[in-house]
Amino acid sequence: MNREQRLEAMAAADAAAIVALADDVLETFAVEVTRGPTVGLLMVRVEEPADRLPFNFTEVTVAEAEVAAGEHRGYAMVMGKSMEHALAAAVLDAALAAEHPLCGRIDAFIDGAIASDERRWAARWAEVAPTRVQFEDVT
Amino acid sequence: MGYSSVRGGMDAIEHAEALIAAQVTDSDHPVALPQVTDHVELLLDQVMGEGGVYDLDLGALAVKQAEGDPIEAGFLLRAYRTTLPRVGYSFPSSGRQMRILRRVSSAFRDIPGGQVLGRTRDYTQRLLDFALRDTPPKTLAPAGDLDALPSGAAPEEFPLVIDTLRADGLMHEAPRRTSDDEPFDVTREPLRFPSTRAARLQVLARGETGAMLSLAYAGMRGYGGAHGYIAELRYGDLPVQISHPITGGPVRIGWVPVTECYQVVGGDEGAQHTHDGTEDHEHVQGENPEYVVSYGIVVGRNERKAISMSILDGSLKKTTKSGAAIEDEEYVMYHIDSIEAMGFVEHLKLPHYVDFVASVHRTSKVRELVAAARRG
Repeated sequence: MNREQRLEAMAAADAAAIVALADDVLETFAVEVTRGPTVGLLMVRVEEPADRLPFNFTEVTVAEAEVAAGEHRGYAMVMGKSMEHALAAAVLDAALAAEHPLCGRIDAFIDGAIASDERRWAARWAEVAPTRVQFEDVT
Repeated sequence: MGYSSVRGGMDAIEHAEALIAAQVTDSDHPVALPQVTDHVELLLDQVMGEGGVYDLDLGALAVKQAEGDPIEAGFLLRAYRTTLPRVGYSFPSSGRQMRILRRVSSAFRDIPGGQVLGRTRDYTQRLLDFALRDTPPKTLAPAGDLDALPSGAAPEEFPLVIDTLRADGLMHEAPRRTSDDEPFDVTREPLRFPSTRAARLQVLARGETGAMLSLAYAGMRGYGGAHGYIAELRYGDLPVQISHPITGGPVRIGWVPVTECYQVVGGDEGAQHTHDGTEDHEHVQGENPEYVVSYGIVVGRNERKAISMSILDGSLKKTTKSGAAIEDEEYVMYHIDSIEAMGFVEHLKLPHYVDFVASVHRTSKVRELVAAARRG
């Protein structure tokens, strides 16, 4: 799993759970906060499909943080205003880069976050799937 | 009744503010924010879209504070956003990447991936449901064992309907890659005319639903619009992707729910419809008539606005104008913004004492002069 996929999973993870895991990691992992944590606005761009024209669609609130642990950096941006979530994800990102002893637990957490996200989507799709139209020809 | 400027009124103003604050909070059944997010979703989506900020918590708070007034709530969001720093821009997301929860076409019956009605009120009778006065039990069966569910549908299952038109040679091919032009940002720079289509699409996406519906309706009735065909109307989640600052690779940090409308016009019915007036793909009438797409996209579930946006986008793209108001970008863009419109109209109720005194003095003077003239 690459770094981008890890961040996608951590951004979708439960905020309280990821903060708890980061607290455990920080007991044996010293980091320096180099960016934020801060709450700001990200402008979401959309590509108009016919002419492939990008335009500014809407802003979303995001929380962002970056940490350094020696030569290793950790970064996270999450949607919403939870600076704790962003900071925790940045800490875990740095811990994975530094091959911290709790890497196995972090990987398992990330796998669990991906699975939970997929289950949530599957449940939403399961609600609307029966509304898929089967047309009948009247002859 | 005297016509003179006055000072004071602070006690009255403070009491009026206290009254409105109490109206929001004093109740045996105060509104909790989750009630807004769970049960007043359409209003919340409208407010976030017109306020220009997607944040469920902030949107629900604005709805509660504004007593459900969508324009006031949008104003609160727009004011709040000015207190936050801009951290950057996302990569442009495309409707092709959406996770689909609803998707219908009024142009084609059979579309690749099929039609998905999703959650819609389109087929319900408009009868008050008095059972809702009490809290009825949930009527939707639970999804069951979440681990046993099949995967959710992938975006690739629902290719864009306009691609079918392209495959049939009825639409011009899309450019190979995204335009390099830096999109105009109306939240950063004042509008200037003529504007760009990117600026128009941003203003339309933030426009007020009722105003856009009204203009689009007028257009369809013959005042500069067109009665096109909805190739596709879709609702779902659009990915939000940023550039990872360490690796430079794209990262999806979440999703924004959106409604998209792809409206096709033209064919042998409207040579005047072209895409943005550029010459390289100019619409051809006659031997090889083409269809062109007008586009609408809005935050959340708001099909009325998405369809209206696509109609207005189509009207503003025309290179041959009929002179109708909704083909005039300045007319449309200045008048669909809820905050601008509300501010200008409602400012009339604020004190204009000095202005009116001056008017009365002028009127009295004119009357004196007229009377004097009549006396000779």
